[in-house]
Amino acid sequence: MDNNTIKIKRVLLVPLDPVHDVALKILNRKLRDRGHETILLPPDIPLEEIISRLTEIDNLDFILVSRTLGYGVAELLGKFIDLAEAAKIRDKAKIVLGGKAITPQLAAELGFDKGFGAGTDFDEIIAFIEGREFLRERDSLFRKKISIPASHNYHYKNNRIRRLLNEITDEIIQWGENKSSPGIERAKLRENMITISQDDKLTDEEKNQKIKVLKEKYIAYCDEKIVRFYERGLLPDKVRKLSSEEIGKLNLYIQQQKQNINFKQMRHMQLLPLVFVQYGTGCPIMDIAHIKTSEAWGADGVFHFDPSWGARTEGLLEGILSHEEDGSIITWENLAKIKSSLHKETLWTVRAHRGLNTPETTVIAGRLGADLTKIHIVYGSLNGGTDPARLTIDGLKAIQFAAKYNMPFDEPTNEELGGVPAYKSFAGLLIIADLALKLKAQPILKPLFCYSPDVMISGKMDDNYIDYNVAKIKSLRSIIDAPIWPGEPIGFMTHSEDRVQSTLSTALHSALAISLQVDAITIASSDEAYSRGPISLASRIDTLRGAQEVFRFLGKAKIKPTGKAKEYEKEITEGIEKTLEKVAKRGSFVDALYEGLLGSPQDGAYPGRAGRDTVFEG
Amino acid sequence: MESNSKVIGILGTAKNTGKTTTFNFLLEWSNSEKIKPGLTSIGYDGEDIDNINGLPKPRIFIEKGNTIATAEQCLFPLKDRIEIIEKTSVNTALGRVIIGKAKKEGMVILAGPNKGIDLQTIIQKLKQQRVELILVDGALNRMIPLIHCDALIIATGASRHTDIGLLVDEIESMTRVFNLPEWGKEDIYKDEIREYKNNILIFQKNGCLKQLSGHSLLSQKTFSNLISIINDPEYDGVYIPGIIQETILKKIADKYYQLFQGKTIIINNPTFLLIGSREINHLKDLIGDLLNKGINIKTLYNLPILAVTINPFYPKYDRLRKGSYEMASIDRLQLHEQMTGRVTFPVINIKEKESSKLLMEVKKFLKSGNR
Repeated sequence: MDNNTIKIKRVLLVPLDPVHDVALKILNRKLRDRGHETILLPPDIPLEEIISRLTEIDNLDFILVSRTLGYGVAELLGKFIDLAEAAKIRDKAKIVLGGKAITPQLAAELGFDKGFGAGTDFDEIIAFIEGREFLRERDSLFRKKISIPASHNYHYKNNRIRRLLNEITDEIIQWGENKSSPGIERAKLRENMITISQDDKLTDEEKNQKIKVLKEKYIAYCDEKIVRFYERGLLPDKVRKLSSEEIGKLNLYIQQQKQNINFKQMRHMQLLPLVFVQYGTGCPIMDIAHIKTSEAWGADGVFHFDPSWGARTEGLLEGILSHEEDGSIITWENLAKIKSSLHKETLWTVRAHRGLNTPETTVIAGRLGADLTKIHIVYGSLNGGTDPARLTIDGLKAIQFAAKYNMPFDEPTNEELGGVPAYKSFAGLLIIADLALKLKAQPILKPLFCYSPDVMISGKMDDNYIDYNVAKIKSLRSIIDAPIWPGEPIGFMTHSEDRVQSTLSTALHSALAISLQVDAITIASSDEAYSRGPISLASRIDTLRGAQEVFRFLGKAKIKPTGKAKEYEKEITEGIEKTLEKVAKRGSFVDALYEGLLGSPQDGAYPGRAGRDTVFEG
Repeated sequence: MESNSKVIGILGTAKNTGKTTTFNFLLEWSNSEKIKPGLTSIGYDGEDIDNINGLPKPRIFIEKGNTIATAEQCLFPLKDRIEIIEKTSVNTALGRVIIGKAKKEGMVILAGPNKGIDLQTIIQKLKQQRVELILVDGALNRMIPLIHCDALIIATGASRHTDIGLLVDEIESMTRVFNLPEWGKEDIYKDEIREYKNNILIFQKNGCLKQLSGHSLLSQKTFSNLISIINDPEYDGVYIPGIIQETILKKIADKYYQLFQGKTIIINNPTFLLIGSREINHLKDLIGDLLNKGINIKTLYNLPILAVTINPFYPKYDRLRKGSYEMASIDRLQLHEQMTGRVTFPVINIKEKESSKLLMEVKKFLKSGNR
């Protein structure tokens, strides 16, 4: 804002505290910079003397009091406000309270006109003093949805690799023509059911009738576990419906959180990387608590994780369901409830990537307005447990749905964690990315920032965690200009049961990510690997704070790798090319998956069995 | 049209002294007697967990048809249960104060006006809703806004001090201040008091008056000005519209009593003297001392105290688990006995049978004429 348009205010700053007056000193400088007239009292003056001085100062607009809370301090502040009123100071000036433990509720209890607590931006206080709306301005500054692919043109820089990919993906598309699967049929039926349920021209009765017909067809493509639900209302083990009372309270909780949320700024001076966290506690209520907490502590986006059995079961359930174990069940209603809890600028991604419900999940995510999804045929086939042919056809269709609903999708190369070397998993990554580009979708490359079995064996990280991770990013960048989002989460396999160690490791990997200017990162909580159950919110906050701190620490400075990084980069790029040559030569992408060309049993990759022999012509 | 409803405020000596318990007791009674209540608070009440010590607090349960005044942010979660009658222009840290009526029974959070002038506005708004009894819950040790009520109940207890002697001394001192006689000459000087509301006024025996700069007796400078003038035997009284500090009053009693002998010090209202004291406990002796030395203290406004409620429980700081508190108690019988012996108002523990005594006092007050 132009300083000329600000109405000058007279502000008195009172450090009502024995020692802590730094915040008021900073505020004092900032207010003066904006042309306001300020008086800063020294700390630790008795109440009566402060009041006496205040009565002698004319035309004050604001009195800013700062105080840390402690035993008896509430009464002290209560007395201050009473004294100010009796001395007629409140008639002229608004009295504002600030301090680490101050909340709006506490300010109300103490009788102050406004309260600012931990996490307050100085600009927020200045906006209040100047009578400006603050949230809008701050939203536009740092909480704004960004399209991850927007700043990339997907142009290839390595022509040999481009030609190989072109050959392989042409074959995949050709192979997929006229093929379908139960998963694809369900996705189409689900899409129709959603369309009908949202059709305003139909009466409820007409909707129900039409949906009933489709539902019968849908059930014919489901596993017994799901059929039992639709026909007899029986839910799988450890799954239950939330009661209407629970849902009512959840709605209230969402409303309250939306009202009270106060966002922390994740990055310092930088625009990237966006920071994502995953949720999937099993319970939508707990998930929403995690989401709202993550948003408040600065996360840009959140990921939905479903239970692993969801990927191996044909068909999806319905309703707001809670699951006693890891992974939150994918249903339209669960996802809709979670979506309703999100801040409008929070990026939301629903992973579809690896199982028998990949196309249907993509449809639900798309229809609910998810920003992103996650699809990866190679990982899902080799380490995700799904049959390669089945996931290839389902993946093809899911990518088309992602394109239709304008959801960029990321490809996690988690087969590296099974033992597949990075260059092989990158070959698979690039195949699916190229396939997506042909299908007019927007792929996001997701190399791992991890301490994988392959590097442990080959000793590539014996000296440091930097060189090899740098090499991976640089290699991909030398091939194509595509968005890169290391995950999933960064620092995989470097965590321990020690929360401090785990937080620090995530923070340092975040530092490397920002130094490399990648587009986004996914971070784990500090107890994610060892929680033995749902992760705790405190641990969730640990790593968000850790990442924030290194972003502040590093600013625009860079981490410098050793000369090894260049060697590794060359090695990886050559490995990618060799792998692609073999796949192209094989002439069948699906067979290449079965035969281990993109990751073999020796590497630690095993073609999945779920959905074997379910691909059909038609 | 406004009703003639009366306003009872609950003033605490500290946090957790039992204000909301007393408030709830009267609320429940008024609902059972079909006396239409209007409810507000000068703080933040009805939350389940205390904002400061994290201990459970009494919730506020209202019946269908009850009228409340609370901040919009507290009303938001209740918007299905409360019909909004008016969005007032009174602002708080939690948004504007809303007047609402319960469509259904349930819990509410009350966070109303935070200063006297705003409380006055809200009381008028509640009266427009034709309520019959307005209850104003206090906050912490805050007392200044409550002067706009018609009567007060003082809540004290172990949360203020765990030393029963100190507790009793304090209440006895407060009793003394609230029992100060009203000045009775305000009609003569009505216009002047209104015109010079921001100035200390010195009255002459001949009916003239002189004004001093400053409205509170807080600084040595103002006090020096005062004594240089009051020296004149022509002056017979001084009115202090703002705070009067206990230390200055003590100086008058100890050093300058001859200057003030036979003269009257008039305060605006009892809370302006209480707030000026670091240790309220000493006020009873100080007032006694002044009277013995021939110095009168009177108050321009006053309001009746209906009762003193006592709460033997207090949150005890847990030294082993830093930052946490646990419930503890002092001897409730001792507290009751000593307090009753020294305080002229009825002393009541709301949690005991004697709570009916409080209702008797309230009924008596409601029947009495308007102030």
